[in-house]
Amino acid sequence: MTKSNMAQAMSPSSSPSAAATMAGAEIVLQALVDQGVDTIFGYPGGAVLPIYDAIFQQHKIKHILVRHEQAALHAAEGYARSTGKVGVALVTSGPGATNAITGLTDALMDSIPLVCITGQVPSFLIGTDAFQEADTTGITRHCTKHNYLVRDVEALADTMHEAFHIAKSGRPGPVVIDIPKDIQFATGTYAKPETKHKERYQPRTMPDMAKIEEAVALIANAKKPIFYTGGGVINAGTEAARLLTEFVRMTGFPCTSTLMGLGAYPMTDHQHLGMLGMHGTYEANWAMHDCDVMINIGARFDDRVTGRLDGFSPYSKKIHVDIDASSINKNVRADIGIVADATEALRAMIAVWKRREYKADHAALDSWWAQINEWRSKKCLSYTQTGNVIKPQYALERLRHFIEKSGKDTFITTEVGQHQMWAAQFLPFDKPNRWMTSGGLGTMGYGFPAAIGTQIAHPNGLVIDVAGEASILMNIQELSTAIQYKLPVKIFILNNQWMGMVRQWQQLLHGERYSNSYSESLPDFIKLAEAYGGVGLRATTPDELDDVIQTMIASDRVTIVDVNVCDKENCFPMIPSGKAHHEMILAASADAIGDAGKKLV
Amino acid sequence: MNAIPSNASSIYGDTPDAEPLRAHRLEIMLENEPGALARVVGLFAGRGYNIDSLHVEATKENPKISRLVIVSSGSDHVIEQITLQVDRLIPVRSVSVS
Repeated sequence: MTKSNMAQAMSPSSSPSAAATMAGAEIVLQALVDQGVDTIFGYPGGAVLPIYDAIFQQHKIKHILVRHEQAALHAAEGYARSTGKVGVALVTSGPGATNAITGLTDALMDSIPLVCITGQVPSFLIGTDAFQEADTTGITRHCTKHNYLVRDVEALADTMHEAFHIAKSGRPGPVVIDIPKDIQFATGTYAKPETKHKERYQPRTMPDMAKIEEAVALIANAKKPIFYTGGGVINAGTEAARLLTEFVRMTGFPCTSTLMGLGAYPMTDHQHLGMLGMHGTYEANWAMHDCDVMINIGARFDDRVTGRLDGFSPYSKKIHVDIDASSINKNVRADIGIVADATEALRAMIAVWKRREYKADHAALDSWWAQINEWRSKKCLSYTQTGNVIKPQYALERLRHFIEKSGKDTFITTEVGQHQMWAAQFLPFDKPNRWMTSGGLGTMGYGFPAAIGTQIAHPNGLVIDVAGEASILMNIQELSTAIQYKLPVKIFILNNQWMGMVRQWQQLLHGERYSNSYSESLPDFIKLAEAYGGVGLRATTPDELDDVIQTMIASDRVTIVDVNVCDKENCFPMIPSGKAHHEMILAASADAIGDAGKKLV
Repeated sequence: MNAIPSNASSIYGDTPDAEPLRAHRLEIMLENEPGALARVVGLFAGRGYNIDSLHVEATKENPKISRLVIVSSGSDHVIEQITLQVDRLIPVRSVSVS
């Protein structure tokens, strides 16, 4: 339409101005460059060959070849989560797209900004059950924030730009662009990103000031307050984390974080109570239960946090700040709901607090802290390391010690299960964007490819995937990727020879019937690492641990550490499903669980 | 003897008490593009909301915009959620409830 008369032939070497004509595949690459992308993760196939051809003929975009499309998505997530930028994946049609589904759903649940480009069979073959045809936009409609099937090459550039805007604005999420092969070959007009690409989607970021005033007045009068912060603070950027830290310190209130929110407020600070929720600390969950004012910044009252809803924090007034209006009042009714970006809401709250010269009620706060310290004195994460068998918690404490000693900028990813919860409990996260884990979807196999994406983004960082021996096998083929790109990713396997969390639930809730949860026929992880060209290490006793961890940290190649840990250790505290969040099982009382556990079924 | 205790029938706890249901009319202004209707209908299916009736047609004033009218029965809380969830869809211009 109007664009056709803007079309101008450009010499291939010159940088395109406002409008230029080029092949669809080149439009894709040029749009990526103009969106500030330098790295993409992908796997070629028939329906994306024109784009791969365009990649071959340029040097601005680095393509990382993974070994399975699921890993491309998780690597893009790790890249996005550790940088705050949009992660980009490129996969082919049919099986390429269906293999991407888990990563897309993972990114949707955890609000990770991704753009995933999928090849599609040529337009004239769509609907004919062609080779490697899948209804990608139909399949991904439920696991993306938005998706597109590009039917006209003239719409391609605008679609690319809008996709990036949607992926990173408002509540971030994954966006799929399905591009038929004939569109990749066709010649069309390229236009640079403009504000018109943002017109259609303008999520609210600025808070309602009247509600901020109301919220801050409530905060100032609180006797037993708590900050409950989530992944929204991380997504809002490092300024949000800084403002959160400022506001928490200004008020002197306790602060707890969700799994996704760890690192927004320094966990080693005494005002932080650790993670809350199903495997959160005793003090965090009790403080949430007994508080009179709850200040939720960017968390979504997930069932892993609330436990039984009718027993959740019964005495509190709840302030809920969320960029997604549908999160407010979804699971838990908020007394004050504020739709805003966490940065803007925190900035406004601090401004009001200062302008009105509010002061916290110190007498009330002192007795609240006295109560919290009493809960803390339970030492809910305590364990006993005795004998020759390594306790997983001990392995993580030694890991923590040597991470701190190394002084390196450290990024931790995890798989899913007991090791994930222990990592959240025992490793310190004092900065945002240093902790990459699959929270909402709980995807085993996430951690290693996410570590690869993180290491690509931070070549000099110390990147460690804390893993279990079952989870790591779900994307073990990525050892090949790590070798190809010389990525010194560390895989720290807490090997208890069980799908530990499944075993724990079977023990506590299913009468100790351990159905299919034993990790049978495991590979020799040392030989496995070596077979790919990496380094394999093993620790079987506590006194071997320190040497192995130090060797791992010093290694310049992908390194698997097989830590043989106690096979019966359970992850505590634990809120059993169907219980309220203050009804935690602690390790000390765990022996008495046998019968009590069975009654929960 | 094998009676299930009322408070321990499921490890996921009791189903929340049903709130009274009422029919609501949702008027959704939607960009007239392929798949837009499927997004709205799929959202209802995926989140377990009811559709009692559905009518859609392009508006006379602007054929690029469709008016989608859905009658759905649910508690006020559920209808509020539906409205906010539908409003999140990118091709949705506006949602109003009556």
